[in-house]
Amino acid sequence: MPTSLSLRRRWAAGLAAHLALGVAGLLVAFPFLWMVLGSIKTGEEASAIPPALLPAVPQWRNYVDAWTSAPFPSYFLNSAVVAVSVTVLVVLSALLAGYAFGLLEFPGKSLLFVLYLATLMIPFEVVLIPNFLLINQLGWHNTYRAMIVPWGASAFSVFLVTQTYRALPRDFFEAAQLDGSGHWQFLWTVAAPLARPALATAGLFAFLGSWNSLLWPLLVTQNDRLRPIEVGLLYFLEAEGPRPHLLMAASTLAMIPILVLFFLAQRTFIEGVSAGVKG
Amino acid sequence: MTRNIRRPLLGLALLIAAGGLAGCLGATPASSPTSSGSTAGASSGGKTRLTFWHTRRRNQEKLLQEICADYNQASPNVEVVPEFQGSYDDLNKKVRLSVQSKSLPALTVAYEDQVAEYATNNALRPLDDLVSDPEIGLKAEELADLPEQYLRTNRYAQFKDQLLSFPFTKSNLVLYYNRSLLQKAGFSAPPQTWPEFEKQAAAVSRQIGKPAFAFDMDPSTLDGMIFSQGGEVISADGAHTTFDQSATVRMLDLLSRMKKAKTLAQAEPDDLPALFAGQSCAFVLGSSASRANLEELVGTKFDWDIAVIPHAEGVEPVTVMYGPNVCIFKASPEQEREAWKFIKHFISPEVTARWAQGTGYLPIRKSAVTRPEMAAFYEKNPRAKHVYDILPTTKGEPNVVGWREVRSHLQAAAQSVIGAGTAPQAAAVQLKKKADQALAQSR
Repeated sequence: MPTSLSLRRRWAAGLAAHLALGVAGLLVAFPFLWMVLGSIKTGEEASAIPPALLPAVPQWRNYVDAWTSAPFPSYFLNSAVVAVSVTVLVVLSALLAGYAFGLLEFPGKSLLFVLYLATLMIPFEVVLIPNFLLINQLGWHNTYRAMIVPWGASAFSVFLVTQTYRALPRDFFEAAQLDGSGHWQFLWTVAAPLARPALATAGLFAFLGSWNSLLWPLLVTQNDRLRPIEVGLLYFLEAEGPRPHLLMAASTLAMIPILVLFFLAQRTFIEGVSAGVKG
Repeated sequence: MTRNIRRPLLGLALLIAAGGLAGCLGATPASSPTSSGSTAGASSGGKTRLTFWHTRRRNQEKLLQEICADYNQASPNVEVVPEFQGSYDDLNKKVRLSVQSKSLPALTVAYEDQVAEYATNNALRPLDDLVSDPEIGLKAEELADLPEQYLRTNRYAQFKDQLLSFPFTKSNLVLYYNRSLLQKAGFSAPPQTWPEFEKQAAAVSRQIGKPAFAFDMDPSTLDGMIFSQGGEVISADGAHTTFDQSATVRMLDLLSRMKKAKTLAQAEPDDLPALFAGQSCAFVLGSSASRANLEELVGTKFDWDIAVIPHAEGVEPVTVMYGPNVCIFKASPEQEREAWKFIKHFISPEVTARWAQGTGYLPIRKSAVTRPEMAAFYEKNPRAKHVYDILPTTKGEPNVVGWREVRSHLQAAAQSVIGAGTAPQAAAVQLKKKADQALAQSR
């Protein structure tokens, strides 16, 4: 039977843990809180030094001003088209490649897998120039293709799905084979559903990466007709005087789809990350 | 994710993906007709299409678009299409990539060191023969109407003294000062010399309890401060820097003293307007292009003005000239001539006056200042007139290849003096060594 001392100790430990997590949570959430609060300040309040936490009078109009300042509907649509297309391609390629690396046996599999993972070590800046030259040679400059195709596969996503399949018992596959199921049928009826957490994680990362991309879309597009939301946010940055309140409002708007997606898929995402850790 | 929402979301995602993938296959009208090869001068409905890469946003971009639209309406065979390409650094990255992929625009804005870089790639169209062309060039009186320093900074000694770019939008390094705070501290006029500046900064710092001088470590500001100490930053032949001379040491020493005396506080460039408008400082050195933003931020809260930056005793007032130029990339002779005609139109007195009023930059032509609309603008905006009055004291920065890297070394040297307390003399010697290496390696 627990003594009152051990109960008190457990209670104190729990309180300390909650406090520590609460502080850490606040620290992580503060930049987002600052962004939202900045989005409802006046320009002067948003630029003031020392800064004030709260606005004197919330300026909800900033959202309307930010939305109408530049072609944000077009930016959002472009971001949606590119991010969703990239996500679909990444998930498909991760599923197929992960299946091959995780469940099949073929000559050179280990070496190929290592080479695939090695691409994770190459910084984006190193491949920027060759990728740009290739895009131009293909005649893809200023097209959706330039923003989608180069990002249609991800070594990290393949790794995640591969680890998921490697953790599966071989019995699954052998049982399916005995039932007369081929690779294709097994993939879509058994393997894909089992890898749903990992695929959701891969999809979320791909969507995030694509939605937040700035430099590549800026380089491969020429005008606002095709540019995504992150490039659109540059509208509020100007050497002669940034508009921080409108930038914060536009940034908050840009973040909404990401938040919605995460809240809808958070359970699956956490399962996927945990599976990756365990795997 | 609940089942009820999953299917519609999945359906929407697949629909959007289908649209995107259709775009990948080229079935979308988003494909640019000029997406293959050079973007400079594709034909658009029989017109020569000239893409103009720039860095303007918001009201300035709208004004640029209006000016181009008016020009296009008046020019039946040409369509100038201005396209925003990010900051100057983003634009520079894009041009560098485009040089390699041979997909350059017709025109772009660029600072002098960037122009020199493009010239090393043999990408630029020299402008001398276009400027002196009997049909489309500038007459002698038109050339005389341009401030001499604007033209000089666009001649590149490393490239046979050719005119490789042309002034596009210009401003000055100026001293913004809070007249109200100075008056409270007992000063009726802004400082003319650096000793006066130190004295006024000390008095105001005591009064407001904060450093009076908010300082942004911009290399152009540092260049201006060296000029104002009576020095130079590069030798006459452009082969090496002169940072080991006394002017640089005096500049670094000034920064060191003010930092130790707590009359100088380092700040980020984006914070300077807020610091000044919030009266957290009394002095800021910055581009005159920020004037319009400050007018908006400060309003009528206090009295402030613009002056030429302080100078050493015995040295004439001098400051740095800011603002990018415009250059033409090599293309067909017809496109190059049309690009030059647009530049000539842009710097005409009427258009440059319109640009100056709408942006707060300086008019490129001296005669623009005497136009009725400019006179009215200066009547209404006296601080803008003060900026123009400073123009005769301005001087360009070096336009040699490798100067970009020299600028970063200069910034690092000043940072080491203010931040790490490095002795100014030692910092200057080290700076010269690194800067000369950078220049030598770039040749």
